[in-house]
Amino acid sequence: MVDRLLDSRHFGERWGRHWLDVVRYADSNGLEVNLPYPNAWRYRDYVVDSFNNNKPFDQFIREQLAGDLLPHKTDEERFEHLIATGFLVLGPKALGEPNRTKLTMDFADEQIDVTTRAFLGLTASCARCHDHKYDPIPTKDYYALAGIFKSTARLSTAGPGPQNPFGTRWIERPLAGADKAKEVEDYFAKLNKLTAELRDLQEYPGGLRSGQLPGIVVDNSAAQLQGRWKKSDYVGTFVDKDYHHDAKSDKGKMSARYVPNLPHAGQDEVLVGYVPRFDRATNVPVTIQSVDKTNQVALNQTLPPMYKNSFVSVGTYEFQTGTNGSVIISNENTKGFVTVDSVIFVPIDEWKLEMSMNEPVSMKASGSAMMAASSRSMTENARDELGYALSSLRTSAPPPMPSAMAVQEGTIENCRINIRGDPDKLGEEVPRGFLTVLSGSKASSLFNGKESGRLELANWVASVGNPLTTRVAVNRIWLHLFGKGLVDTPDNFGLLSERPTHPELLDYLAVQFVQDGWSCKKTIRTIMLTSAYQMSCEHDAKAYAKDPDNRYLWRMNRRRLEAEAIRDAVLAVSGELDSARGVSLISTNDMRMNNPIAGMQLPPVTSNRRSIYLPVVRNDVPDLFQVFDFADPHTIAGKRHVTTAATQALFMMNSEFVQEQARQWAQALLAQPTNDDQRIANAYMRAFGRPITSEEKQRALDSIAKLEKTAAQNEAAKNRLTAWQCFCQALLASTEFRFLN
Amino acid sequence: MHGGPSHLDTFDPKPLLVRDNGKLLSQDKVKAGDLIAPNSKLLASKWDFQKHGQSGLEISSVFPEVARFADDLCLIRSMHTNGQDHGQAVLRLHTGANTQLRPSVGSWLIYGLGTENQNLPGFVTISPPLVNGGPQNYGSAFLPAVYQGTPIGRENASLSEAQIRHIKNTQLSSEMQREQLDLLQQINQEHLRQAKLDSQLEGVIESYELAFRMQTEAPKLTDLSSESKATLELYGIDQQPTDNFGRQCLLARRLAQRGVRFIQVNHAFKWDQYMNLKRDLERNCLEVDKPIAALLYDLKSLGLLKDTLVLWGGEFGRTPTAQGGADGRDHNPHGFAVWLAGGGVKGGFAYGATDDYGYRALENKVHMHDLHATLLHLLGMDHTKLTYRYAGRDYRLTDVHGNVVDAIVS
Repeated sequence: MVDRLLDSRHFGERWGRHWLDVVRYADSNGLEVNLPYPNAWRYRDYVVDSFNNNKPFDQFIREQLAGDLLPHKTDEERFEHLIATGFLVLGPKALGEPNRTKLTMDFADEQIDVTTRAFLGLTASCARCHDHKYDPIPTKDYYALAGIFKSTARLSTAGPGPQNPFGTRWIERPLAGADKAKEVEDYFAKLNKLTAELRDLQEYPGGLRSGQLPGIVVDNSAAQLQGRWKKSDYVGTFVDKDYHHDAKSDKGKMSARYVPNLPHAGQDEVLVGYVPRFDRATNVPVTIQSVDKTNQVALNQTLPPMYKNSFVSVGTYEFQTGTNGSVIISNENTKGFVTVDSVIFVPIDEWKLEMSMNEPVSMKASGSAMMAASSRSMTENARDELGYALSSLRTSAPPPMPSAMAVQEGTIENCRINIRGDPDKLGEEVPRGFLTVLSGSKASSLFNGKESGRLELANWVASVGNPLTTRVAVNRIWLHLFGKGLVDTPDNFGLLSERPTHPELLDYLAVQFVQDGWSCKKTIRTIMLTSAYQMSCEHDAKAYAKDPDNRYLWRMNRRRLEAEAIRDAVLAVSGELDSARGVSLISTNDMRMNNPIAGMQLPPVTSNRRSIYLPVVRNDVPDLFQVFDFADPHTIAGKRHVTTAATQALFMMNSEFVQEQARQWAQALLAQPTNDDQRIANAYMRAFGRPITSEEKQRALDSIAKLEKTAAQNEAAKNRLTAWQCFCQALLASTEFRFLN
Repeated sequence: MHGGPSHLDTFDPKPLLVRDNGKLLSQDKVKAGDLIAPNSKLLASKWDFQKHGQSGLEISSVFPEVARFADDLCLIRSMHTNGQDHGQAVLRLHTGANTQLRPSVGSWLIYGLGTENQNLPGFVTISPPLVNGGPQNYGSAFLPAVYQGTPIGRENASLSEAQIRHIKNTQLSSEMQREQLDLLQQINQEHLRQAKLDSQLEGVIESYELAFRMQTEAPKLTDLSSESKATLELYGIDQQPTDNFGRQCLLARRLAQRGVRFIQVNHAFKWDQYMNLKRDLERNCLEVDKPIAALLYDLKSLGLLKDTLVLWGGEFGRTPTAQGGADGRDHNPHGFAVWLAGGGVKGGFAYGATDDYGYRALENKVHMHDLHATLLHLLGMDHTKLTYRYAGRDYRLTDVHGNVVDAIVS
């Protein structure tokens, strides 16, 4: 049975999740600039696959720390290695930090923290401000490591948005071979050429007509313009005849006020049109006056707008009927060109419908369909032809190049000590290197000065000679099998850690791990076949009196299921679990994923996929996960808390999720062609994996009968379903369901 | 007051700012690293300051109701913090840090003090924001999840229907739910009987009973129908524009009466007056002034104020210079004001001062860490001793910083 479980493709989903806790995996940045990570899922899938394929753990370490620098035979292998370095990029970053030096050092600190705690069980980041108070890690060693990460490129800058005032982002690297990149380049060259030709011929040179847009459209021709705006139809996609720009002059003196005449009061999505280009302003102030509220957002007009290549959403606002609301765009405090085109106000329901059609929105503009609707003219045939050519070119568009969160070598430089951790107070320069207590002083001679030293670091961490790496790794495995580590502080093996309960055993397992080729599956198998693992949870008064905490394993620990396992088990029992694997559940076409303006909240993902595949949004962890001790995804968490709280009980009793699954299960049970006795027995077998006792059966039958009577709805069938739903929910909410015996 | 309320137009009068209105802020006031726009012009407050109460505390005309309680207020006019942007400063206000995840003040507090009411959470935040760190501002970070704040309602949503999550079963009558719970507890007891002894299982069994009691208790808490008409009027409930914040403040009082240890009342992200200062600050104050005064009055007359500590403030203050034409002010973490009232602080007292124009804290400076240390002190805890071991060391709310401001303690 052990072998069957190790071979199951769900093995990697379970053990991969444990690793994701250690590496603070998430699908968004978190902290105060909580931008989504549209490509984080590739790293998650990489972890799942690595555990399933039993990738040697030393290789797993090397790939995560320095995959970009490892040799590879094929493109696929290169991509896998790149994706692995997402490990270094996934952490929360203070992207709103104006001091770039500090941001760089904070980022390096986060990387040092995850590297030393995940692999070495050491808290080296204490040494950022002072020599480590407990462990032999001097500040010098910290800055030797910091030099390695500082020499690794990890940050880039895009245009700023209101959620991201300095436009700081992480690096993503394309997962494409050279021919693929060429293909994409050629495609865009052709597309731009055809688009330009077509534009010249069009009656509506900007490609959009106000009559074909949703909601109430106020074009720039109808806006109240202050100052010397200039008309243009020079470039890009725009609505009707033209757009206006400020000629980069009279800054602070020009504004355009859009006042819609709204037929209904209610929530409208407000979309602002502009014509993007590299020379545009990056912080165009847009003021939205809605009911009782004035909001201001800044538009970055260098970025391509998402909706119909012309609009970005600036949010949803409440408006009254008539002409009370307005949008004002000004050129105050801007540097580049400010352009103004139409502003549209779309009732929220209509907008949701529009979005749910889920076409790749940017592909919707112009094209032959629109041409057919325009009136016939001299140039019409030529236009039709071009339009046709363009739309067929678009249908043959190469898929966008996939990319991964990854690192690459940057400017190679040593780091100077930051006195008391202050990046603006510099001390002596420290050559790049490792922790001297573990590596001796010879290590820095490995560095050749031309590279960051990350590859050397990876090889050193993953070497047999490193005394901590293997012990930390096997201790994590033990922890997840027993619910308690041999060292019960799995991310800290320093002086302030818990002492190992069985030091010789830990050493033995570490040595065996290397002999087995750093194989996690073999170590798991070895441990599972021990009599210690196969003990029951049975209580023993005598043993309890001597060792109440069960430190010396006189029985198996009774373990509560983690949040994921509770959810997945509920779905499995109700028959609703979708066990498809991998890829992203977040649509990359989602406006909010790509639009720096519209806000940072990802839409809730409703899916019955296994929990590991649900996106992890920092600052927005779903209720079930929050109440059942899912580790906060900002933190490195080799071991989760196990708490008991009333909020868990409320969730199991009252949440829509549990009630809905109980109903699904009750319906399935009632549909079984058998009697109630057997149904109850089946339910016990499914929920608890054991046969029901006759006493339990009688009690369940009585309870169901009573509940059926109390339900007192008009229809008997409804009463029966409600009673069975209550019964099923009680099984799901029970301690026996929640704990492993 | 989320967004950075202007101290210069509320609690920190600056006559020289009035005199020098329109002049450039001299560059010697600006330090390297300040993000204040160069060549900014000084902007006088548009409101008059008057002396109030026996103590003669100066408060501007924008807070007339709160000003009536001048003799209860302990003003700190020399606050400073780090973080030029909202997200950074808001996280520092709540957790003392912004680059790494740290527990919220409220979490530290109930970790230290425990909870008094066994049927309600110990830390409640009313209408918290989703932005600028969102739930991180009331999260327990590495402290166990039992110490996290429980939200009621959320920003920009009416509080009148808000409830604790999952507090109500939408499908079953309470009679049915009791029957269901009886069945569930029988199943659990059977499991416990077989286990013989297991404190975890006992804990879960108890958690179901507690949850069931909470279901009865919590809706009573948010149901304001037992409050007198006079009380509702006092808080401005069912009147505009005070209705929502009035409900928040009254709920806070009801929570305090029931022994909830830490209650945060969040006014929406509306205090960022980089433009339309005149209109929007007046609007904000109209929304909160009366409810805050009502809360102070109510706590006082119920005898609760002497052992309840009230803190008013935002993440930072605003610059003395103009932004957005001549009707707005920029973010200012270098100097701002907060006030305390009640439990253990001197009333009718102003502590510390900013410079002539109110740009930078100058005398008796109080950093956000110092404020945190003082809060814990006033609540009976030593900020250097309230620690939790995580990632190999003992963590504190104040990290390695913070000094108790003894001068404000009564």
